[in-house]
Amino acid sequence: MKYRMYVATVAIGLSLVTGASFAADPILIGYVGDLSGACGPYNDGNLKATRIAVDEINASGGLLGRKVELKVRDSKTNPEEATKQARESIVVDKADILTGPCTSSVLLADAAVAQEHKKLLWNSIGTTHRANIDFGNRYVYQSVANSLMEGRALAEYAATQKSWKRIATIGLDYEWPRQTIEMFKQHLKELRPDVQFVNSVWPKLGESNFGSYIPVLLNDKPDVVFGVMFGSASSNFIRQGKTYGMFERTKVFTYASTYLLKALGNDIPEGVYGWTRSPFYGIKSPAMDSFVAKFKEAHKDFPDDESIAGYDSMMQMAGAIKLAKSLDPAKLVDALAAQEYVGLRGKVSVRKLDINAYAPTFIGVTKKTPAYSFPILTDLVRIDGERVMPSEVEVARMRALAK
Amino acid sequence: MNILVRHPVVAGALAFVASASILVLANDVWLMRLTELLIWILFAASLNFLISFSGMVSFGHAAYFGLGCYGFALSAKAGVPIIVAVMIGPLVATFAAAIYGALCVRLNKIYFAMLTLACAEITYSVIHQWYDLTGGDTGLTQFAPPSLDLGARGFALLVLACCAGGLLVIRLVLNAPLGLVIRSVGENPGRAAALGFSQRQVQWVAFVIAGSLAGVAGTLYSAFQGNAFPDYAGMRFSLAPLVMVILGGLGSFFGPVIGAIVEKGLTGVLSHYVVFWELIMGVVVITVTVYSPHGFWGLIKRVINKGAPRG
Repeated sequence: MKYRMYVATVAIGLSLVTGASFAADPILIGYVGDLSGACGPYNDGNLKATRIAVDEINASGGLLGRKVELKVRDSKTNPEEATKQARESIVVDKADILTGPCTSSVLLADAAVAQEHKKLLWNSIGTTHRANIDFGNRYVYQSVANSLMEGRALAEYAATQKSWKRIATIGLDYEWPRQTIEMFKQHLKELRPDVQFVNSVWPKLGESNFGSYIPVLLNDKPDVVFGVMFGSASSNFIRQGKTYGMFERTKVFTYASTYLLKALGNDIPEGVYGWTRSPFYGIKSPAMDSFVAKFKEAHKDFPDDESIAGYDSMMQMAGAIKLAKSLDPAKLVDALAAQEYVGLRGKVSVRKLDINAYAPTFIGVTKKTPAYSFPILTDLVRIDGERVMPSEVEVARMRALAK
Repeated sequence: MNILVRHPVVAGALAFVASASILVLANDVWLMRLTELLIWILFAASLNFLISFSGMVSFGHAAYFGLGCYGFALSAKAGVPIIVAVMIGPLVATFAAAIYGALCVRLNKIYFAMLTLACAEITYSVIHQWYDLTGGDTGLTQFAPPSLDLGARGFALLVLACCAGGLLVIRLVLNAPLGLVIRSVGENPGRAAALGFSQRQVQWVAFVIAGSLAGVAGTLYSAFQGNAFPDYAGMRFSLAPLVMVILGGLGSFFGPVIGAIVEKGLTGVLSHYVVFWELIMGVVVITVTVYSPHGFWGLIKRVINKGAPRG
């Protein structure tokens, strides 16, 4: 009996002690990301950087006096799985706030769950504007340029290339390429009525053989082929394009994220026009230098664009939580919009109307340099979100159309 | 125990009340899991009706599930009142089952299975590529209030009612003269034909019943998840109920109930702890088909009957 009393006392004592050291529950971030499947590599870099950010936040005392914890779930680049994991993240793990989606469909699936459970979701990879603009979902923060802004930014750049008169397009058949190409076309026609769009082809998502598409594109003798694709589709398109002499016969303008440049290495020819969202080599600042050094030390690799965006948006969200002194979505949105955030990408402010960051797009030309083992985009042009953000009238029109 | 076996109505009513009370008492986490489970039970039971009793192995049952989803989601999005939209879903599935069924029942066995697969793939492709209507790969979200505005518990009870209703319909059909004809065609089409029954007609009726129940499950699933994706009509959603039927036990009425519980339970637990959980699932399915062809339900029956006198 005495022995039992002793054990009970110790147990109670211990629980009191541990209870005291974690005075408040940690702030739990539900990272529901596409760690496997087509988006795997992008989410990998994003998660690594998010972890670095969380460690830094905790090292400087956490948020609101609470520790920050990351609980990771794999949505497998599959919207149905994403719905399930996002819901479990909120209901089972008790996540306070969500992040991590990559493809547009996963982002939309997560956004619906976030709204249902009234938790804020922030996105730093996918670019669809359906959730935050069309549906007016007040629980989604879009921290990168959406496909509408990106399409316009690319058109602004293309308009300055006087020799680009005939443009052929190729895009994987899903949300992001469709929206981006549509916006690119619309905006470029306004800027340069003399530009003519010739063939467009839509290989399906997951296509790996572009042998039947490239000749069709080249047939019309375009000045430039505008390609919206990612991952293995991009690398196959470029590798197979070389065998068709595509790069000698026309110029190519395509999505060239750091991940792709690293993966292709010298397989990507020089002189390809490419765009990306946050290249570590294209933004010079002490903050960026120190982040790149830290990332290299931890992972023996340069950070991807998704890493920069992941770290940047995590820090921006941390600032907003401090400012709002709350995790309430509406207050966080107010704080995001009020905050003067200067991060790795420089100053990135947030518009309250659609909870969208005025995020930049970077466009340049591939070139080998002595500094890196892979070609990078040089002669970079940075087009800030302020230049291409849809106006309030446009937002209202899109929302009315979506109803 | 004997009373329950002799009076299935009493047993069913007791099971229904017990399930309802569990749902009333369950916390949020379990409410979510049980709701999903109940939808899967209904879906698997509708496929089991085809496989176990009508002698038709379908590899494309997700077509009707998916059409139930999209029928509901698209009509809700178009502004149709929710109460009407939830009925449109199953109707679309029934309609599709009537057309596809007329085509599929012309063939038997593996040819039938391949035709059902082809029909499902056509449905999937149309949903996937008709971008302007279905949003393609992006799917549909935010077309209806979450849980049909009933709250998680209210919705779970609605799902339970639908699931129990579906099982009851299958039971009533099986015990009715129609069911006897369906079963006899399933067991021996030649003899049934000699008795004057048209095989195709009977199989078509069974196919439409199974399709419409899958449509109900699909509509509920879409309302539960708050979205619709082409995947819901795809291969993965055709295979999952098939695995449930096999795990539960071919040829039994309660097989799919047990099968769904086992499959959902295993995937839930395994995928949480093991990366290659699908590998383990595969091994389990192989083991069950080899060592217990009547599945887990067969095992349970064997255990119960062990003590009882034979004959």
